[in-house]
Amino acid sequence: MEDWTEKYRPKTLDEVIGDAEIKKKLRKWAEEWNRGIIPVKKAIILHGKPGIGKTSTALALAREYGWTVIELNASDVRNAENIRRIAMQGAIHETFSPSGDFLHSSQGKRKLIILDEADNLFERRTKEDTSSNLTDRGGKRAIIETIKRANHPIILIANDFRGLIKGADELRNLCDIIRFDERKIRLMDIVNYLRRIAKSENVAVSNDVLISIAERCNGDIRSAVRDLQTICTGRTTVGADDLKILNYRDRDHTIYEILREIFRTKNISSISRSIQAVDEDPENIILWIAENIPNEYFDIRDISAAYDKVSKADVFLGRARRTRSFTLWRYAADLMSGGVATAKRRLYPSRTRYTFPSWLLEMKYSRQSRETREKVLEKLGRYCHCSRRKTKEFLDVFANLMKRDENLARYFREKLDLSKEEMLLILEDESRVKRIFSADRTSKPKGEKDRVDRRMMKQERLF
Amino acid sequence: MFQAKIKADILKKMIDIVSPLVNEVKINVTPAGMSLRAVDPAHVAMVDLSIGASAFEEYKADETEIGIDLDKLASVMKLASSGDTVEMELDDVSNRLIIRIGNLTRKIGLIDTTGMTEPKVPNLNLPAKITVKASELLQGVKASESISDHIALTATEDAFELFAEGDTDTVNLKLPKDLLIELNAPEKCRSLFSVEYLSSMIKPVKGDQPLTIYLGNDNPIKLEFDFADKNARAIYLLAPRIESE
Repeated sequence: MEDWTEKYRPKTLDEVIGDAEIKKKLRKWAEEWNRGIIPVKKAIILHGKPGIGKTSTALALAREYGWTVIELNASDVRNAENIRRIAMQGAIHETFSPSGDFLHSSQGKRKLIILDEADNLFERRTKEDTSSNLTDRGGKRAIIETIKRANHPIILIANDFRGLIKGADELRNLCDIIRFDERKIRLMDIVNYLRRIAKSENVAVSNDVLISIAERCNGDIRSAVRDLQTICTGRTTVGADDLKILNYRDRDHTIYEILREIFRTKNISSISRSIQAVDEDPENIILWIAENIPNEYFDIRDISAAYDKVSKADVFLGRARRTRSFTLWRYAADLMSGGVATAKRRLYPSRTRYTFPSWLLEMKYSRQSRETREKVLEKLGRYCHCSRRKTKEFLDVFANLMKRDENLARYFREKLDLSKEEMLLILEDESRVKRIFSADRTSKPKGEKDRVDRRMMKQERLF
Repeated sequence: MFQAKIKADILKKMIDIVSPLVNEVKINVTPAGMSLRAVDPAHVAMVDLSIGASAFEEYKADETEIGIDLDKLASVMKLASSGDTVEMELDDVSNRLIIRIGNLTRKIGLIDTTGMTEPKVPNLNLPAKITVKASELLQGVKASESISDHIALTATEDAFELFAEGDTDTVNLKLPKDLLIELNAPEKCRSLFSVEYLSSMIKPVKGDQPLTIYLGNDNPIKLEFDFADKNARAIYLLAPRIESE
């Protein structure tokens, strides 16, 4: 079945529902390009909530100004290499259109490079980058470079503006920033848009239904169109009764709603219904629940009972993961929701915000050091003929030995070819790492080195 | 229907020619041969490849289209040694391409070709025509690779010149008319190109094979060469760099 959100994607800027100011600003920018002037800001960031029309706006702009589009979206692998290979090359060269026409920029023929979901790039550093400094972050670095060198317009699209800017402050200065605000979208515009679609699909939809879909979507026009398609499929007339099919849920705070329900009520059947409706893995939900239990429950016995249920749910999650039999998720979901809900012996007064699982944050922030650690383990493991897991058991001993004896540290640095970061992880002392590395370069007196080596040889035999 | 036998070398060459630009391609099959045309994802280069039926050992085909992932094809072809003959057959029912190399059979799932546009080769104003041994040009391009990411190609009445400029270093390769197989430049033509693209386009041409270049002023470059005993021809188009002031 055809996806209406694609089928009825607006063709021109005028058709796009939204803020007239934004369109004006974009047109001004596009006209500069088409006159052969390179605007001060070569790139524009469009940000705002999902489904509000950012991509549609960018595509309609390109169409209106006759630009060829290079679109890198979530379905492409967007690591630094691909951004350089596609976006950057595209941005510094003239263009062949998909139909094979050659377009010359001096005649105002541009290509528009759209980086969709730019807040969601592959941020691992590429091989060539590892040698340079640590703040050099793969994908974003590549985007910044591309913008600086570009001779074509670039649009970055993001749901999460702060996520996009994070670690890439330069982007803020290089780009014009346009925010899509759902409050600027008039309800009647959405209703009219939906009505037009219904009409061309030959479905008679009553006005109340259109209005109620438009209201519920909360600025997410894509989801409004999806809802319309769902409700219209297989029908020629749609009345208010049919709204039930949509089983409306609040898109934005689903996880919060569920937490509230679990912590505030004991109504198991309603909880289990909403946990099935939410678009989250139980693997994530359990983290949210585990994080927030002590925020909600006061009585230590309730907390203990709740965690007991969570731990049992986790057992099921583990089994599901190991055996790939995800039907087990059902039991996990019931335990973590209904189980936790009924663990409390009384209802507690309402509390403030629920917090994001700290474990996820921790994993995110510690990725760098975990990677370094893995590398150390691998190198050391190879030396000792141990698996990484086994090596982990004696990494501390090894680190302590090295901390105590700088010569030993120096020896292993050379033997295992440890990098600066890896040494830092072991020694946890920046000045010492620096000393070891600088001593290495100036090369110590030969005699001393030989002596160390001989001593090491002896020790090595002991291993 | 499509059924053919071809020397592994020719098929490998075809992959070498196309894969630097695109991975997923639509191959048009006709009784007269195979052809494909594609623009790279950066919209900077185009390849136009045609292999006549006579390049094949055996060839039987109706008009059809084959959408294929070249990475997959390349991984199969790694298993073939240079003297081998490769058998190809299209299985319409399961929509797979069957490849047989000796006793090895590999079936490759095909990709959907709907939505894959087929570019036409544009009309371009490229007054200069240069025919040169590929190895001569490759030398200059390789020398430029280490110092800059772009090179200028210039054709005048009596020479064809390549110039690259880095921060401190320069490379200049000048090929006077008598070193060229053909030079015909009624006016001075100069355009700027990416080294990376150029080198990947020249590499598939074997050593001293002739390569024909069409050059214009701040216009794309067209590279043309034959392979498989002139039974197959490849054309590359590469858009010029935008020279910012």
